[in-house]
Amino acid sequence: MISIEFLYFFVPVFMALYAVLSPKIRGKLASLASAAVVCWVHPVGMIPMAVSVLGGYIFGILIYNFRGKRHKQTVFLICSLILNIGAFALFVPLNSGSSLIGLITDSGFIKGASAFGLSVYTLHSISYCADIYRGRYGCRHSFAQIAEYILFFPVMCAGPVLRFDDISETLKTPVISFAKISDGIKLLLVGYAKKLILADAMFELWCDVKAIDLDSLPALTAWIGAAAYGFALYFSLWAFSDIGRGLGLMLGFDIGKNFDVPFAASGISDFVKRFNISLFKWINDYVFFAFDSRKKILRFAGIFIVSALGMLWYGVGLNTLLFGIFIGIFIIIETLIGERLQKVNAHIRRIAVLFLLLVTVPVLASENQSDAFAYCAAMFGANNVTIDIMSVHLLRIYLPLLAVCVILSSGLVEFIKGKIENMSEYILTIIQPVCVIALLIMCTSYLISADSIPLSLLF
Amino acid sequence: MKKFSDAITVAVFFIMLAMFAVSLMFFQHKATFEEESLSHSEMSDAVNGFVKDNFPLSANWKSLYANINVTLGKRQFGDVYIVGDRLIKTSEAVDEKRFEKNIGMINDFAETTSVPVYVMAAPTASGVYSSKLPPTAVKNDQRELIDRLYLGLDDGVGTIDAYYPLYSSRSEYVYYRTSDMWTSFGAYHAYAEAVKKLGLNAVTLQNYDQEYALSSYTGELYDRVMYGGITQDRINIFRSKYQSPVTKVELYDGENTTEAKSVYFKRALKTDKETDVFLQGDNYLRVSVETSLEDAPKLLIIKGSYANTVAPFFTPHYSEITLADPELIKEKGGKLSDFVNVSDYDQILVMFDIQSFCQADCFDVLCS
Repeated sequence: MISIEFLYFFVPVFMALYAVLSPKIRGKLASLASAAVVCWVHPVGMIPMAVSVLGGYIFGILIYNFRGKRHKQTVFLICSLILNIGAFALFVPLNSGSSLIGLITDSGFIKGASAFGLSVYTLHSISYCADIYRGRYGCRHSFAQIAEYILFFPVMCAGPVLRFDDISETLKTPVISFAKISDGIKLLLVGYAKKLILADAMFELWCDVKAIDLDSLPALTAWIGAAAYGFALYFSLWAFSDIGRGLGLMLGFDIGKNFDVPFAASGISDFVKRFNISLFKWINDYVFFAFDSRKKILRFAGIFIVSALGMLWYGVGLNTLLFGIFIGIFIIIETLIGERLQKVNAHIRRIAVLFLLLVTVPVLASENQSDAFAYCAAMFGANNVTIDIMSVHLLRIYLPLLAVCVILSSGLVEFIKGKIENMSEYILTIIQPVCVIALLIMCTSYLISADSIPLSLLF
Repeated sequence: MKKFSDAITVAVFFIMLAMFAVSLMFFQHKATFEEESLSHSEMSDAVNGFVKDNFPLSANWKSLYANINVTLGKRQFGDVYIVGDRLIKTSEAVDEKRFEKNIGMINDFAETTSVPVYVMAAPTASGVYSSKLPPTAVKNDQRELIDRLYLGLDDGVGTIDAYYPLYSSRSEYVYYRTSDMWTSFGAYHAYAEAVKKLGLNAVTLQNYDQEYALSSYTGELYDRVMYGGITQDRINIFRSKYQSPVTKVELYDGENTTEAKSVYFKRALKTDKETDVFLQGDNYLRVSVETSLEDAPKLLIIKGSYANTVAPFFTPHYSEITLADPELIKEKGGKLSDFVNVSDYDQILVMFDIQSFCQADCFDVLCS
């Protein structure tokens, strides 16, 4: 999605066709485009895609048609879950780089396969069937609309995860307008800029820190590295979310915010709610509800499971699992001492959240647990070096970008933007096209000169 | 008003996309899709490469990227580092096994011949200016590497230290700012040191006239970074104030032989590889320079690309200088003895920069 050919060829050609076609046929075009994108990334990705779409469509109808016969509905729901989770388990890339199906078939072609959008469309398909099972809405017989929802290509990179009832009306007749397309373009380009300018630079900084021997890593460099990794992760996901929302708007779909200044959260559970909001809601609705009991043990077990599952969604590996478990532990502790925590000043709580996240991030970022432990130890001065020439060098090179990351993640820009939007309309009229051109020029120069770092490298 | 602004935004955005896309498809032919398909295994990578290489104004885009990044504080672009107004290719980690193997092969070669063998390993700019590079960009100490190479060579092999003369002249124009190569000045310092070890007296700089062959040279490092803050280079040719002793230059590419009258090929200044002005660069596997000094000794240079700039300085001392490129000989599948009769020469000089020496996988052609 972040490539020069996507921006300069796919977007204009697709948008031209989309605008020319009648609203009723637009869904078919979008479904075809989604399938084309999946196939373009790797043809093998078509298999789980087909399983997920057909599973969602057929079992959606079956579950709905057998309303009143709960047993049969449950069987169909389980079938749809088995299909979706099975396809996910077989095709998701493991830590070794290959998927389970690649290891089973031992085929070089399948081993290198990457099923684009797998983690997003699996959730779409499951939530569609589960909601019909719960009676939230009826099934829809238009295959194009279901395919468009499950395979909504704008969000296939890393969300936001969509709900069928949120966009079901738009799916019938998506309406596009200059206002929507223009807002979409802005979001798309802002997403590109976040990924190319900030996230990739922060990843480079993390790589520079990672290249230093863990036995001689100074404390300051270790903290800089942890912050860089955190920013790389946050800005990558935020960027993909903006790109998804932007492309969605260009197609006529209004998709809600997926990040709500998570680094300003006053508690870990608050952070989780603000970080990848759509994923949090999905897990809450479809997994955590089963554990939402008055019994503390069951509830705590639920927190553990959903935290781990939530992290495994980003990438299957021991590092993501452990990080999820840590987050679970923090949330449980927070729940236990909740009342006392409320008495602590909100700013102190915010700082504590950032501290905890920075200290835990090496678990997610390191290749193995002993490295993660050594890295954490270095953060607290285990190597008896606080600062060295390299720390100063890294700060000198990356300080402007680190400062931009801090300002953007503090929510200050959103605040200023809100103020500007109240300013004179005349100024906005002039500023908007100029900003779009400037962003487009900047993003083009990055797309041509450097390769964007794939999200999978972060996990 | 907002509606008008939105319409303008949408129009401008799509017009820009369409303009560049159409121009790329119909008016840009820098690289063909077939070429890209050959260099990329995946179809999507080939398309990405094709679009990037053919994108209109690609040099301007790259320049903009570099300028934005330098403004934001970035100094490293891939393996190229910006130090002041100079681009330096950062050193790579040494493959110890290959390094030891190459030393062994030079020793084996020296043993098989009765002709005295000398080795000169030149430092690159990343070695001489290492103190200006950040610690992560310096993967090896070139001074130490050269010392290790010389210690590993047998006693019978002569060694020529090019590091010290270049390091002590580092404030002069000894390396190009935009290319990973030494200038004629740098080459002269190395020549002066080498010729002393070879038992001859160096011609002083006063005996040369400097010709500014090209005053706006930008090398391969510049092409990769495209940062406008770097001053362009100049290519100097040192012409003897007296009659040039060169009578004939014979260039052999493995199939055909070309003859020339001078060691300088000024036609190269109009090509993409301007430094080929010195003995046509690395395009010929054997280059023989004959001079009018019939009684003078003969020199065989086993060369890396750093030798091209130095070789012209040796012409006042030898009756014949032959440069043999082991890499091209290996490409042809031959051995050094297939192209050069080593015993015809009085001295053999192995001249490489230390980075290339460590990475070279061609010294097996020296032994029959």
